[in-house]
Amino acid sequence: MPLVYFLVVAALIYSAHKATRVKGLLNAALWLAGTSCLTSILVYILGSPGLAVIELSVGAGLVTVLFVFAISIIGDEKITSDVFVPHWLAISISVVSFGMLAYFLIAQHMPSAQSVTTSPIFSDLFWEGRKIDIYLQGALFISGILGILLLIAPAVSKRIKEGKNK
Amino acid sequence: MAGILIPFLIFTPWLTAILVWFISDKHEEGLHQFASAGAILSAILSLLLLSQIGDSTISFAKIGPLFGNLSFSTDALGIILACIANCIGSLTVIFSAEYMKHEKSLARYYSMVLLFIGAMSGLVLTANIFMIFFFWEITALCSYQLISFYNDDPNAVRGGLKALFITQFGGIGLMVAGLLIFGYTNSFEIGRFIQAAQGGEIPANVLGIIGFTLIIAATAKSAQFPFFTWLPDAMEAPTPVSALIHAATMVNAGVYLLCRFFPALEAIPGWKMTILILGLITILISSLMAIFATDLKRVLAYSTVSQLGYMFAAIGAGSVLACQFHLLSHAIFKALLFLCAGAIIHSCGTRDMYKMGGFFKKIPFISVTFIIGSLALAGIPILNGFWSKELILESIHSGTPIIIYILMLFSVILTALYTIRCVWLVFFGEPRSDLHVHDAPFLMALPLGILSLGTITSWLVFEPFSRSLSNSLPLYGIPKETLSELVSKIFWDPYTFLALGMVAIGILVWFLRNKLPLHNSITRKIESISLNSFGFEAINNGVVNGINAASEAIRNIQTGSLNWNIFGMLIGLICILIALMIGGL
Amino acid sequence: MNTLVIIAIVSLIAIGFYCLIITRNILKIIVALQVLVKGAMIAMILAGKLTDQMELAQSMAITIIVADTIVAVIGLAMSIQLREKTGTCDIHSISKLKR
Repeated sequence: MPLVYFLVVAALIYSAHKATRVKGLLNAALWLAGTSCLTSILVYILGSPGLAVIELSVGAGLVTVLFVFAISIIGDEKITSDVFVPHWLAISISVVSFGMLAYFLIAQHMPSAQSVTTSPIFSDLFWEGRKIDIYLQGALFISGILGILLLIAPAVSKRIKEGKNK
Repeated sequence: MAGILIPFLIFTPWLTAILVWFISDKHEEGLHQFASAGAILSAILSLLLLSQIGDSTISFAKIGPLFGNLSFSTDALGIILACIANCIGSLTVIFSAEYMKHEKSLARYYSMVLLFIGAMSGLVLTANIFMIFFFWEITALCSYQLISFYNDDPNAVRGGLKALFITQFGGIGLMVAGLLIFGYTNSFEIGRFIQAAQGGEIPANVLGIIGFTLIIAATAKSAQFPFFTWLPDAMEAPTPVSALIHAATMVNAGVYLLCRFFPALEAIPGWKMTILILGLITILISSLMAIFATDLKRVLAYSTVSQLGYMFAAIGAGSVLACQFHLLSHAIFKALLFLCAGAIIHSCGTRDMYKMGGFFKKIPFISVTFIIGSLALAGIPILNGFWSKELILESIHSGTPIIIYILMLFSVILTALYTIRCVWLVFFGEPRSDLHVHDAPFLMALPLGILSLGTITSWLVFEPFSRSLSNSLPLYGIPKETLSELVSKIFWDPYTFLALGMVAIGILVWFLRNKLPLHNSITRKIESISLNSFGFEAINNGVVNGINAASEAIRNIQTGSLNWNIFGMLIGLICILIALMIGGL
Repeated sequence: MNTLVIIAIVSLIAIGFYCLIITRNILKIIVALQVLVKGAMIAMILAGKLTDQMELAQSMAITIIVADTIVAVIGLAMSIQLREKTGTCDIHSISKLKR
């Protein structure tokens, strides 16, 4: 089992690295889909298969499709202007801060199991205990629909213009 | 019933504000009528709410454990203040229809005034400290916006910023107190806090910190010593706004806050004494400044500060009833005075009292109403100011050291002196310049008439006032008194006549001003110190300038670049981790 | 085993942050946010597992997925509109803030 963990984690980190550093946006989107798949595998072996399915379908499926769609409209762009924070500084500050954090978590502050008396049923907890989350998600869905409309608006308007020109 | 009325009371002005914004400046008549309609509707709702006074708490949506319930209390303390805010609010909106005629950006004006009215109702009705903070900040925002309403005038912009900074300072005090209360009682409910404080669940030192941070919040909002200099500068606002926000309602929020938390905090050693002394210092300083000011609105502003000082002194003497009764009287007569001043300034175009004079014959109606208001301010029987001020003096006499009572009597002389000076300079004597003035048109005269009627008669409601306060606030120890008890108590008390004698001395000093040896170096020195606000002007200006300079300097690191911001976040993370490591874990 | 998962979490978040510091292309920013949020989601699940409150953790993680997807959708829509209106995806060149 540790070997499985090791392989999944290594692949996850590699593909995340690729997703952010690879040249070409289409490649980045594909690597992101890979990251999402590996995340869902990790979530699955951590013991929540339901969430893994959602992550796989939404993260690897929907978002990737939308990414590819958006990139096909925008096209790739090479940005050449200088960066604010030099590369070496960015790398060092990320490594230092998160290295410290990882050290902290691993060495000293691993959270441990508390004595939870009753483990509530998932649906009860989801629909009753965390009502405010549900309201939030409702609002988010509406804004997501608006976002999708915005996303396809240029393509549709272009189509309409072409139709008029004919 | 109250559960329906309270949300309506808050949302009617707010909805009207939004709709007014949509009507826009093109339809001026429509704006005036629509805003007046909304304000009058909310005033009617607030009067209906008066019948719902009780000691229940109404909870709306449960937001979750972190913010407490969206709850409102229906006790008399809140409802009476909401009623004052809405009624005076509607009168000032009606007054504005004439005063603000043909001004630019009226939509902004009306929507801010209406937003303020709704927020004030919310502030006084809610029973949740978090919500108090929320509404408190909205009122500060509206106050800032309306002071800087003429935003091409640098004085107005500066006055607005000053008010904003200083009241925000008070807001920090309120926030600290709220967080401490939440930390120790695990709830934002005020009722729960009072219970915990009286039951000794909160450590004494923490309770002390809560009490004194609330004093900071209240003094900043109510323009008390040492934060009082923002209120005179706030007089750059349009006069109806001064009447509503800076005389009748918002500045009372600090007094309200102290009254609301009174039973929880009164046992803190030194708490009541601090409030009493702060109030007393404020009364003396601001009365002296009012005697030497030349600007009509500034005189009224200083007198507002000093009357708020009376309310603070009443709380310090332990009498919430006297404080609230004076709050009611003061809101009515001071709104009347400000609206009269507005009518005068509107017709003659200057605020300098030394350019006025002899107006009594030219504008009899405004003169009569103004004189009614100023007699109430000076404490002449049988106007409402007399009763409430005597009540305060009586509670101070019975509950505090005698030296404080003597100083209060001295301040009564000063009050009478600056009132008679103001009335005399504006309405009597020879005209000092050929200003053209005309009497109030109907829409101005209507609010003035209603308010002066209120000034003459509002003390008659004392009996239901004290009964409802006493019934709905059992923890506050408010006595139930009838009107006849009040009248007999005050008329058979020799100290009342002492106070009236002081008023007479004040008036005599003005009429004998040329015969008394007043023109010597001491009075001149006092005058020059008073005109400089006893040096506090400089301190407060320093604070305002410092905040301005600091924000200009800090703005440079706000580049708006994402990369830079993320970089800053990571540095912050490192700092937190280092702090945790040093913290010993 | 938990150590490995923590390393995965911290690495994902660090990679996301590093990319946010370096990049100026709005699409790359969205990719970086996706990577970062995946780390946060795994952290939530791990915390739930360690403290024996898996249901709570799952409900939170679902909220995270929803929010994250919406962020991606809105971000993509905004980047398309940005490209239509300004002709570039460089967030720095379109900033009009006074400096």
